Amino acid sequence: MIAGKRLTAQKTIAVIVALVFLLVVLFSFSFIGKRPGAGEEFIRQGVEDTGAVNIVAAIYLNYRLFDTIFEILVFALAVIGVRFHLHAVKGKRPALKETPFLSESNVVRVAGDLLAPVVALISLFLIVTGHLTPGGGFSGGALLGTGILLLAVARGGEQVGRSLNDNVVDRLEQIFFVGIIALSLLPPLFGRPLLANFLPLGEPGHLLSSGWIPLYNLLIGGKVFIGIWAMIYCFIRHRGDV
Amino acid sequence: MNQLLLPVLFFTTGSLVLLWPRYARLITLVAVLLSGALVAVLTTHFFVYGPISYTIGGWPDEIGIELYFDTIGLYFSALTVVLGLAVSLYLWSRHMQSHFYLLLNFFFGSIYTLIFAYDLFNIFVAMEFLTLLAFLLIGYPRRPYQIWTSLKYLILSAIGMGLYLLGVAVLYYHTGALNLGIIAELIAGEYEMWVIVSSALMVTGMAVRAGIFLFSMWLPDAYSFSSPVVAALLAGLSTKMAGIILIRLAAAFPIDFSLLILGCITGVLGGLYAIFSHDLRRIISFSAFAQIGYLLIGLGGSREAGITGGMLHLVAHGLITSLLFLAGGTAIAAVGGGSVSLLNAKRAVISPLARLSLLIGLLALSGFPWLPPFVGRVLLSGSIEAGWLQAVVSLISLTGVIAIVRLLPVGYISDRNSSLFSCDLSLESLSFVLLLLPIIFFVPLVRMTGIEIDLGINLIKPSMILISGILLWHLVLKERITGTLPKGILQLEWAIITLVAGFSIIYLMIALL
Amino acid sequence: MEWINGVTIGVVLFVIGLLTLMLRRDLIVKLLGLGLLNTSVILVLISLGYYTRGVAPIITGKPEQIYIDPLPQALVLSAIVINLAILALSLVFVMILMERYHTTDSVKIAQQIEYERSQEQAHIR
Repeated sequence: MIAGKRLTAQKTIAVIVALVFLLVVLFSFSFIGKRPGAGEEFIRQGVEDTGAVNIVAAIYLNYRLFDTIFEILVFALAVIGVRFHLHAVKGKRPALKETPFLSESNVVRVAGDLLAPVVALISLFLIVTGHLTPGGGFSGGALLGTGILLLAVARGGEQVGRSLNDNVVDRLEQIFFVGIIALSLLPPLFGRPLLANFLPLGEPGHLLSSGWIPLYNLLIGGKVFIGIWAMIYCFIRHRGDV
Repeated sequence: MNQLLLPVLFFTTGSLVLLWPRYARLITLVAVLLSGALVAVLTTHFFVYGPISYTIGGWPDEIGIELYFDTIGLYFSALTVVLGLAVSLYLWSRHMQSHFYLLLNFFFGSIYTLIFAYDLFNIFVAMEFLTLLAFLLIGYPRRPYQIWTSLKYLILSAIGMGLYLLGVAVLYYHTGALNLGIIAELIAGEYEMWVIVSSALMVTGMAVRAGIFLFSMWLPDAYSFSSPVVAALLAGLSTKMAGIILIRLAAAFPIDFSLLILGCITGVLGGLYAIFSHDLRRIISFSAFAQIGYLLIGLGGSREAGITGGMLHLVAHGLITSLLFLAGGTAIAAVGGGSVSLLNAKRAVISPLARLSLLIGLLALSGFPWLPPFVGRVLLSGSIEAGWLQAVVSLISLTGVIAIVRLLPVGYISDRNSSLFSCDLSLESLSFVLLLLPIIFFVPLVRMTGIEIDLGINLIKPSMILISGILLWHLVLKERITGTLPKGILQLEWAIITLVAGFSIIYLMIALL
Repeated sequence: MEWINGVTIGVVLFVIGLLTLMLRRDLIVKLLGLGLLNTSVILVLISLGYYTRGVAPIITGKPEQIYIDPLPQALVLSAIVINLAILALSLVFVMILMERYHTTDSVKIAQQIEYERSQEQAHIR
């Protein structure tokens, strides 16, 4: 009885506190006026400085590459953490077998087989042209990861896992991760400061242009793809199948 | 100065650990030594030419990410080198998996980034990376209570960092900049609504990470349930980073008064909780709440001496708590439990050097003259004028003394057979010595960096507080303090409620002044 | 109706996320709330950087175009990846807890852990 009362008191306080928070923030956000044009510097100089037409890519792979390195590290850490800790969870509990796996349906199998190449093609396009159009390593890699999830749904996780097993995943992950770190360490060899582009900028708008941005996009795309597959594979094996 | 990209060194060694897991501990030790060399280069440059500023990739400040090495960088990178060496020596003969060393390398990398960071979004990213690392480090031994503690930690600090990012968004919208120096110039003297709300949001976010009572209630569990090394790293470095960011924010934003009030709250409440806990690691964790109060009060006074004092206190506390957690871990492993009565009863089992480290660490924590925290406190109390504030600072010191008095017997040498000097020369004891040296020679080291401290005059008050604390404990409080204060506040839901309510309080305090 | 924009909706979603974290006991629901909270911050960031009738910041050479501020979009990329990492890792830890206690109720888990700790302490004494 007392415990219940305390719980409702807690809930009341929580609601009051949250409402106060909402009012305070909304009240002060309503005073936000117009601001001076921010980000014009990037628009003005971006193409000239980095050779990339897509200014967002110019920012996250050139001006603010250091943040992106952290982003990659965070992603790598998530993959490492998930793989390290999921090995400890037993999984494959028979109770979950009651729900049928998706790969047992014919429609899913055929549609997945048809769609997977299309998804792969689009995501490769996104990765390769990251410096020209919206896209880039992260979005392309994530799309490729969901593409392989589609394949795993269609054919069963075990079959996809046979070709992309733990050893292959480990090796590929190391290659991509070490590649990204090594690429950011290279500039001093070419007389440039660390984390500064050392490749020729080329002509803006062309596929082979804007220095190392396409190279980074490829590496990040591969890293994100492998990372997402590694996590999905862990969860798949934990459940039994997709 | 490419040397300021020291974090990249640790990311490189981290990837090397991934490649050659067998040599993980060697790679880590080499990385720490190399970082020590780089810090030495930076330090000499600092003493010759003054503060170092470097924008990554050679871009202008407005569009690039700036790294900045000043007095804060000097002290905290020195602290990180010492702690890194101590931890890698402590771990040498414990066979951790390579996973742990990977986390350790990344951890130091993000610590160095945060020490040098001068860009608001870079701070956010590095902080989040640190959060995830600490989360994995706490949960590494995979005991249920550690898993639960690290989940609580992750949820709370994710909320905090969300608030912080909201603040950064508002700030960017108005100033068009993320660099702290540029922003400070732009908002100088302005008290518009957006300055108030963004600074309140950012201070709340950092308060969650800095170990301030009502905001970071994950702290006692995280400190006392994680393994000794992780607790030492968390207490010695991770939370201190948020303290650094608070120092940097206080230089730019009108948040003095709110920090002052936060400092008083966390100091008094943390001290009270420390008195009412009966476990070594609990006492140290709650007193960490109290000790961050000194920094906040120093920042709130916004006098130069106060800020320097607060910063020195932060460094000193980092050194001492990490020593206490490492030595305490050894002691608890020897005795079999962490409660005060158990430690005092079985103290003969503990190795002499661990006992000496505990004794010196505890004395230092209580503000014993000459030992590190004393230096910061002297500078701090010299900068305070208001009488009520002096009283609060004395009260915090008094609670600190009372909290640790009952642990002091651990340090007595009870039997003659085991003298302090006949201890075995293991790497573990080397790490204790490594941490003890800067603690003992803290005053000359600080004087070397050009900070004037006049210790002679200020001896009377601290000693009086020390003596009165000991007397108070033995004469009055010894029999009376048995129970514990309400534990509900450590519960996840209540922690979130107090955190959100704390935001409104901070907002009001900034808005009213 | 000008006050209905990305910023206000983002703030409301943030508070909904907070309320989920404070009121619901199920850990999975809590994580959903955490995801909502973090995503709402991204919404605020993006809509603060938006100009009405602005064009995506891809330089095409056409004159007289107002480009949207590119910086928040680049920042949001990092924030999204961080959210993903937080959710993935916390989900794994919830799974470990569930494996052991067969519940996702945070209060029950906290009580169980408290009980186990006290048993351990008693055993030492």
